[in-house]
Amino acid sequence: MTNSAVRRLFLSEIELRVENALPGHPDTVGMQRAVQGLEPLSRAQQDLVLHWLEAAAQSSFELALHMATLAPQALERLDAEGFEIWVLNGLDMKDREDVPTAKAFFRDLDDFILRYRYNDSVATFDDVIHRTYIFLQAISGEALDIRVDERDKAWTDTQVMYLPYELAALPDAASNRKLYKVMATLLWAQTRYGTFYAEPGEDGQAVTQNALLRYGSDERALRLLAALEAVRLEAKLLRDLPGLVAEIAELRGPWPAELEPALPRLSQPDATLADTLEVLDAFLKTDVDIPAMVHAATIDPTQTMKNIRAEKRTDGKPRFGAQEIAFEPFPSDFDDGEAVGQGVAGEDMEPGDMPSSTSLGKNPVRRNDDVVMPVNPNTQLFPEPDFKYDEWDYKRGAYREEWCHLYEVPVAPGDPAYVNQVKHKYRAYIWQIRRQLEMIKGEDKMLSRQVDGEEMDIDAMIEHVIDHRNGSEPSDRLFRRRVRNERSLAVMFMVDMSGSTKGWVNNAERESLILLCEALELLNDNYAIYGFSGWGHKRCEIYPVKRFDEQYDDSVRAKIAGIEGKDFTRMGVAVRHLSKLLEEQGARHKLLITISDGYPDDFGDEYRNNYGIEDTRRALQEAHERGIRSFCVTIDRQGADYLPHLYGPARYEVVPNAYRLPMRMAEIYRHLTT
Amino acid sequence: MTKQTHITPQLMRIDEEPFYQSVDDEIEMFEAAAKAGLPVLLKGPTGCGKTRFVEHMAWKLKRPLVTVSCHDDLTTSDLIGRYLIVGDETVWVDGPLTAAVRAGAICYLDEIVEARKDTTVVIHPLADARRVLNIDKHGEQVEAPPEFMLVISYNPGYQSVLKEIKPSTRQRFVAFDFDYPTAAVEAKIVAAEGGVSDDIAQKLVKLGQMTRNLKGAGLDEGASTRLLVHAAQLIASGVKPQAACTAAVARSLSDDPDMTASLQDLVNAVF
Repeated sequence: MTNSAVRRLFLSEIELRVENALPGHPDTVGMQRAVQGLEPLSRAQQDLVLHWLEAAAQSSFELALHMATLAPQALERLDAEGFEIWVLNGLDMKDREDVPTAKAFFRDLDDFILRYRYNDSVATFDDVIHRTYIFLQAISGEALDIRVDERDKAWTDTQVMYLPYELAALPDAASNRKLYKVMATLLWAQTRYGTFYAEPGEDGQAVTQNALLRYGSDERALRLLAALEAVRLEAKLLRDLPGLVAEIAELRGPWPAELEPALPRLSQPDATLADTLEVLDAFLKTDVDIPAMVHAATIDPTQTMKNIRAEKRTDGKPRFGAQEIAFEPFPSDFDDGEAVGQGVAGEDMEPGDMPSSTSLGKNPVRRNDDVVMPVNPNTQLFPEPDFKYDEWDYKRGAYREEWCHLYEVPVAPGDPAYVNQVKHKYRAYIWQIRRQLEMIKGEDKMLSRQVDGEEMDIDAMIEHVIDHRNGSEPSDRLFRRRVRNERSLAVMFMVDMSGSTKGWVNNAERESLILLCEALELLNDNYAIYGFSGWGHKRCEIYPVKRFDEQYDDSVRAKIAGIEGKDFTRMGVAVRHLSKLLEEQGARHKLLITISDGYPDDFGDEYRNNYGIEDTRRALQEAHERGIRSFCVTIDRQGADYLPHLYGPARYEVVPNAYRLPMRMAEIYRHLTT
Repeated sequence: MTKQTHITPQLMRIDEEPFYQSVDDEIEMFEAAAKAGLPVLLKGPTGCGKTRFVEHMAWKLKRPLVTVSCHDDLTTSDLIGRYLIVGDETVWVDGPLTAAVRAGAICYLDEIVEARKDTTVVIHPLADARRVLNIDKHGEQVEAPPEFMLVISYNPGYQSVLKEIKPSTRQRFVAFDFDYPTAAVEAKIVAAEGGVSDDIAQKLVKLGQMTRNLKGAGLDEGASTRLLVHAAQLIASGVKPQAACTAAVARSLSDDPDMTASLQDLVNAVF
C-alpha cells in the first residue's frame, strides 16, 4: 500500500468507492465533502481511509461517513496504526453506546490524541480479564463473577468483583496489568479471609460486618481501612502465594511510614478483621492520614452490606471465597425443601409478581431472571401440538403421560449481513480451526489384507507362504491400502433460546454456531441445529435452525442470525424430541450437544429446581440408553454445581465468559469427536 | 497339528521396589483380587500413578509384568502373537498377552480405550471364569495359571464419544478408582520421586492443585502428579523453580497463549 509508484486515486474513483461503500445513503452533500477531503491524501492514506470506511459502513453509514470526513484531519496527527485505533475506538463506542456518542468521540480528536499517547501505559479490563479469570479460578477453585465497575473502583459485594475499566496508575502497561491481577486477588482475599465476615474469636465474639458500617461515610476511615486490610491480606496470601506477594510488594513500594506501627500486628498470619478494626480505631483517634494506595481495593461497606442483605443471608457469609460454605454435593441441595417450595409458590403467582430472589439465597444455582412477563400462556387456548411427550415426575417416580405439548416453530430469518460480520471478526480464528479440523479429516487409516493396495502386507505375505507350505489354500489378500477415515457421526446442537439468553449470551451462541458451521462444512459430519424454549408444559417450542438434511446455505445462515431469546428453559422435552431426531440418523456415533446459560427452568408448574433437573436427567438417561452421548457447554458459572448430576462428571464444560464461547466451541467439538 | 517351533519371549521381573505411596486400601484390595484370580480395571486421570501402582504390585507379588500401551492400530496379532519365517521354517512367536498367560505374569493393558474394539474382545475369555486364551491361528487354547492376572486402565476424563469402554468389557473387571492423592501425600511423593525439599514439593503440589481447578474451564486436565515430579526433577538438577514449572507444567498443559500466560502467572505466584 505504501508503494509510491501507485498513483493517487482520482476524485471520481474515490467517489465511486464511497458510493459503493454507502449505497443509497441520502447525505450526498456530506459524501461529496468527504470525497473532496480524501483527494489530496497519499494513496496509502486514501486506501486506509476507504478500507475503514467500508468496515465502518457495516455498522452505520452515518458514522462511517462522519469518520471519513474527519479522517484527513486525523491523519495529519496520527500514523496509520493510531488512525486504526481511533476508528476502532469509535466503532466500539457505537456498539457500547450509540451513534451520536461515537460521532462526538470522532469529533474530539484532541482528547483521543492525548489518550492515545497515554494509551501506551494504560491497561484495560478487556486486556486482562481472561487471564485474571483463569488466575483466580485456579487459586480459588471457583468460577468468579468479575465485572467492570461504572464508578471505576475496585470493590466487591461478595458476589461480584468489580474492577475499573482501565488502569493507568503505574508508568507502563505491563505494570498496570499486574496491578489488575493484584487488585482482583485482594478482592478475592477480602471475602476469603473475612473482611466481611469473621469467625468468632477466642472469646466467642464474632466481629460482624455490621461493625464496618459505622465507617460508612468517613472517607479517611475507609481509606485507612482499605490500607490496613491490604496489609493483613497480604500476610494471609504469603503462605500459599509468596511469589505473588513479592510482586505486590514491588508494585506498592514500601508501606507509608504512617502505617509502620500497624505492620507487626496485622502481618501476623492469624490476624483477623477484629485486629484491623482495633488498629483502625487507634489511628482514628490521632490525625494520621495516608494517601489512597494504588493496589488496595476499595472497601465500600454500605454497598457491600446492601448486597449481603438483599441476599437475605442472615449469617452474612459471603458467597465466594469462604471455603467453609462450599456448596454441598449436588443432590442434597436439590432435596432442600425450601427450594422446592419456591417452585410451587411460583405456580400461583401472577405474572410480574415473580420475586427476583427466587433463585438467589440458599439455592445454589442462580440465573438471571430478566424475562419480561406477558400474559400467562397456560390460560390461553392452543392449537393441537405437533408432538406430545411424557415428562418424568420424580416425586411420583413416574412419567406424566403426554404432558408436554411441543410445537415446531420456524425461526424468523435475521440480518443476512450478520454472518459475514462474524466471519470477518473471527477470520483468523476460522482459518485456525479449519486447519485443526483438517487434521482430523486427514487422518487416514491403513487397511491391511486387501485384495489391492499401495504396498505389500508383510504379515499377510508371511501367512500366505506358511499356508502354501502347510498345503492349505493361501489367501490372496496381500496388500495394504490407505483409506479416508470414515467418521460415522451425527451431531445435534441443542441451543438454549430462553429469555435469559437475551443480549450477549444470545450473541455468543450465534457466533459460536457460525464458527462451528463454517468449520464443520469441512468434515462430513452430519449435524443439525435446533433451538428450544417454551412457557409451561402446554407450550414447549422447538426451533429448527438447520435440519440434518439441510445444507448450510444462506437460509440457514439467516436463521442463525435470527436466533433470539424467547421464554423459559423446559429442557427435558427438548432432549426427548431432539434425541429422537438424532436416533433416526443412521450414524454409528450420535452426539447431543447442549449450549445453554443455566439450569432447566420453566414458569410455574414446579419445573424449577428438582423437578426440572430430575426430568432433564431422566431424558438424558433415556437418550443414553439409546446410544446417544450428550455433552453440555454452559456459560453458567454455577454449572459445576448441577451439571455433573445431569451429564456426568466429564461431560460438560463451563465457559465462564460468554465472549470465549465461540472460540471454545470448536475446540470442544474437536475434543468430543476425535 | 504338525510340530512347530514356538518362541516365547523372556519376561522381565522387577527386582527393585518401585516407589509407590499408598493412598487407601488399594494394595490390600489388589492382593485380594490377585488371590481370587480376578481381573482389575484401574480408572483415573493421566499421570496419577496407575502404572506405577501396577509395577509396585508386580514387585510385591513377585510376578513378571508385561505392559502393553494400547493404540488404535493395535491388532489381535499384536497381543496374541504371529507366525514369522525364520530361514526355511515358520516360527510362532507369542505376543505379549500370550507370553504373560504362559508365564503366569501380570499383563497390563494401558489405556485400553485406545485399542480397536475388536482387539479388546480377545481378552474377554481371559477376564471371566474361563481364564483361557484362544489362539485361533494354530487352534491352541492356553489355560491361564493361577498367577496370571489381567489389569487394564482407562481415563474416564476423556470426553470423546469415540473412546468409551464397552459395558461387556468393563463388567468383567474389579474396578479401582484412582485420583490425584491428597496434598500431603502428593507432596511426599513429589519430594521422594523428584528429590526436592518438602518446601519445594509443597509448592509444586499447590501449583498442581490450582491447575486442577481449571479442569473444564479451559484445561482438559490439570497437572498430573507425574508432571509435578518432572518439574521437581528439573529443579533437583539445578533448574530454577519458575523455569522448571514453565517447562514441565505451564507449557505441557496448554498451547493456548492466554492459558499459558495465566499458568505462568500461577507459577510466579507460587514461587
